[in-house]
Amino acid sequence: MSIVNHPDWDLSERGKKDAERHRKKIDDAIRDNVKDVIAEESIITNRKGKKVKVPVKGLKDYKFIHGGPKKQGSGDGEGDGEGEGAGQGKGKPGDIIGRKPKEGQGPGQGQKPGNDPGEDYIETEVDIDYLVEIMFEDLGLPWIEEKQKASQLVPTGWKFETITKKGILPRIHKNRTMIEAIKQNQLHAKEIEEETGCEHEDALKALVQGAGDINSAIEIIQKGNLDTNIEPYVIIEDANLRYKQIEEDYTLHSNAVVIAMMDVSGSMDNDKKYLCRSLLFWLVEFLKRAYDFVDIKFITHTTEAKLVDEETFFHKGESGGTYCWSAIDKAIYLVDTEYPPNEWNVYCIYVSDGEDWEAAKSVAYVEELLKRNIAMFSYNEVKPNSPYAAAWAGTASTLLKEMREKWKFVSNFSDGAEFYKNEDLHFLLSVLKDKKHIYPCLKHILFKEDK
Amino acid sequence: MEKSKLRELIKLEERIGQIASEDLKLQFNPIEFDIVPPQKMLEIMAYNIPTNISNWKKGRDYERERTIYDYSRRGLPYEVVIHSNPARAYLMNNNVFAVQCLVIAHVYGHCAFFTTNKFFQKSRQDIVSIMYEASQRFNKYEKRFGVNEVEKTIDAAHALQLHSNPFDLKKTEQERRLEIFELEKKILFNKDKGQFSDILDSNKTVNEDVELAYQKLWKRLSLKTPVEPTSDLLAYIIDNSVILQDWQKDILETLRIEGQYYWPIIKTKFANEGFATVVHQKIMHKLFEEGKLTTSNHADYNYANSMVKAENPFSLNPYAIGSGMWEDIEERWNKGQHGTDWELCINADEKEKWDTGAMEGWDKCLDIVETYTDWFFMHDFLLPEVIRKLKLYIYKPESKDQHIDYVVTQDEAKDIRRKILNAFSRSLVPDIQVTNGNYEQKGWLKLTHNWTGINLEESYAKKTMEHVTYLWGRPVILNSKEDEEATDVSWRVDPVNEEEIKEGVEEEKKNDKAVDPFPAMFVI
Repeated sequence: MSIVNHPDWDLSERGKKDAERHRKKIDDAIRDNVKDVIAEESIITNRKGKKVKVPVKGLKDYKFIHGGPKKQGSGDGEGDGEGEGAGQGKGKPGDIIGRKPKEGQGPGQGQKPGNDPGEDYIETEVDIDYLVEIMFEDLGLPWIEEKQKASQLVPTGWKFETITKKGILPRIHKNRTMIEAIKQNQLHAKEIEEETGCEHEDALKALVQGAGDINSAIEIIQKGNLDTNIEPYVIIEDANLRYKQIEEDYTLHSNAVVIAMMDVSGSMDNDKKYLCRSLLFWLVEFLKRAYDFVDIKFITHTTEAKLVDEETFFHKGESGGTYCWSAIDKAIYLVDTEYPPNEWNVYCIYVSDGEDWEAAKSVAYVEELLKRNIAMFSYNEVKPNSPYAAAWAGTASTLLKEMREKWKFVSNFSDGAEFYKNEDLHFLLSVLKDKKHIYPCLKHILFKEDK
Repeated sequence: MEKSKLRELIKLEERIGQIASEDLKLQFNPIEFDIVPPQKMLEIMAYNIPTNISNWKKGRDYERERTIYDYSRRGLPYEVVIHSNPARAYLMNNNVFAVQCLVIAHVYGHCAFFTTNKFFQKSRQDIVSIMYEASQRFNKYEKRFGVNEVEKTIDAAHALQLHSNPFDLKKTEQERRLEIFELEKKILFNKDKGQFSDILDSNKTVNEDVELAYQKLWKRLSLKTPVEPTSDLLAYIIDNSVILQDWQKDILETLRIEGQYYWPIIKTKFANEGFATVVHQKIMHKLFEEGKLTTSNHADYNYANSMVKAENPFSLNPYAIGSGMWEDIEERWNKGQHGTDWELCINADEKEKWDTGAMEGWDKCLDIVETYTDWFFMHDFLLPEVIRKLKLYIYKPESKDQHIDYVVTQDEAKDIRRKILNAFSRSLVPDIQVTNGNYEQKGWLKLTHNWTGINLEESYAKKTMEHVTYLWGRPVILNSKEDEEATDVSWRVDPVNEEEIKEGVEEEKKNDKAVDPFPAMFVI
């Protein structure tokens, strides 16, 4: 029987360590679900708040437990009614003992990540940046080349490289200053030796005794006033001081430009537009974060193409006919005028439903674009499973069909999506039918080459 | 805590122990008190046993406790007791002096309950060191066999650990089989000569060779596994699973013991907390009488005591309900308000004034402590009078336009009593048994839910079965019922693709949310 005080037990780290395990588990769950998560519409529309709610499956401790009755019992009060509970205090029948806002209304709803059986997941808040990070962990722009002529200077931070004689005290370079001072001392000592013919050690001592002045040192030796007990040390003069100079650090990067093209014509219904935007949204988010040196150009087209800014690209719709070649033409124009392929890695990514009025002409334009030796051309066709789309798919000759007849591709089908690749031309095709195909498609476009 | 205060507390603790053993006639193991800072207390809350194994669930609970504490500076208990020999008690270092005394007295109440109540007698008394050793071993397993596999095994063990209680006999199947063999042998031959042979079916008398009959019987028993249905799921799986490694069996066995340790604590929450509250009240009153504590201490004590026993409008506070019931028992037996005479008396006035001066109250309480669990305690002593005294009611959520109102629906004592008892039986661990370990001769595991009017929560059951499947390595089948008349339903979970096939009658699947107003709590 004893009482012991343990103020030092505050240092225990166990809980924190295991909390880390739990967080890692949530993390893994997010990783597992990432392809479902990115297809959530709320992420793209709700860009103001940088956080998104992500359902995390299977992180509860499951046990055999009793559930509610399947049927409400008959007879008098058989079984517990739904949500009933027992409480204590003053309360007559009819009294209201508490109130809470309804689920789905107002803030603060659904805060219990918890013990209610029935719901299969808990929700956790995640930063969009973080999602992008884990999604594109091993992805990157393929076929990137060092372009010799005009690589871009990319600032990577600050560096100390230049040493100067002027500067401020905090940036003094101790090593260089000391080296300069030692050099100076040795030079002076040599001079004294030559002048007086004394020992090297004595010369250094005289220099110290003369407070660094060479003439008084010579005088001291010549008059025999040298104090031999002096320990010689290095005398630093103002002229010896050296300072580090701070400056911006640059590295050279290959230039890259991504030309994102989207079909906004009348045939693009909501489902299709959603798939397009979602695909390009993540692509752009990724490029912005992963590469500082990538220029992104946005082109929308109906029967004629327009160069637009990002905001317009993602948030405005139009309608009209479809000439796919108009967008390709615009891209060719950009490549010819602003981004010559011998200086730039040019990535063209085009999303459309492929219902082109002049498919043959478009294919000719694509061929023209490919001739310009661009880094990649990717054409992505969206075909959501709707009756309308199905009707088209059977009859119309789409852009994809034309392209597949013209060039040869290695094909790959997975889970309803279709991917085609032509290594020689750096030409990628894909067909998206569902929002779950967005992630595989991104992987298809942003594969890194094996080196 | 200052040294002088600590010295004073040590002196008082001695006196509290004296009062507990002499005045209150309590028996208890020696108790070791540790005064701990909040950080440690948060850990103890999350880990239940301070030396418990490391696991993501513990981390999750820790983080939850810490978040509550960080934001509100609340949510920490005054104390945590571990049932062992010697008992360990952890006291918060920011309890004021009077509260520290209250808590020490409360701990004595708990320890007396642990030592006396028969359901605690089979618990391992060295649980602290068992879990410490285990956490060391499991760490090594994680390094050798990978965190993932170890975690899966631990998760599965956690899911099943409450399905074994300290009273499960740890006999091997073969031993049990021999016992049953002997038993059935007797039945085989004594049927004719038995006491009731005239009314029993006597057509089945053995006309064959005795040895042959034995052989047949033995063969039949040998093919049966388990030889009789067993509720100790983990024990059966450990002994009979073909895919478990030795280290996995070690994990399962350790956590099975941990589960057995929790079992009586969960079963006696209300009785235990109530008893400890009554004990600390008695001891504190004695201390004030003796002048060991000052009047300013009295204010602190009163405040803390009323916080402990605060009425909760949305749930039942075990401290308040439990102590109310114990006080009622003591009063009734003090006044002799029990027995046939009392029951038969219908004159309210006479009942009001009934007092035989028996003064047997506290002895009766000590008797009850020995043998009761919560359910029996409630059944026998949560009488309508007590319910009225404690002002209990039933409430129900009512949906309005913008919000949900919780409205009191009933304050009729009889109904409340029935509903509370009902809820208690519901919060128990479902009775699930292994009935066949070689189902359809394929080595599948068949579990049977002993349906007593309450359904299993289907989604949880299936997820739990995935854990069982991981341990068993072959398909697992669970048989249950959905209501009285319906045919059995059974769920099957396969190990690899975990496909569920619902056999039997397809019922409409309404995912009614189960209400559990009395969730089992571990920390006391």
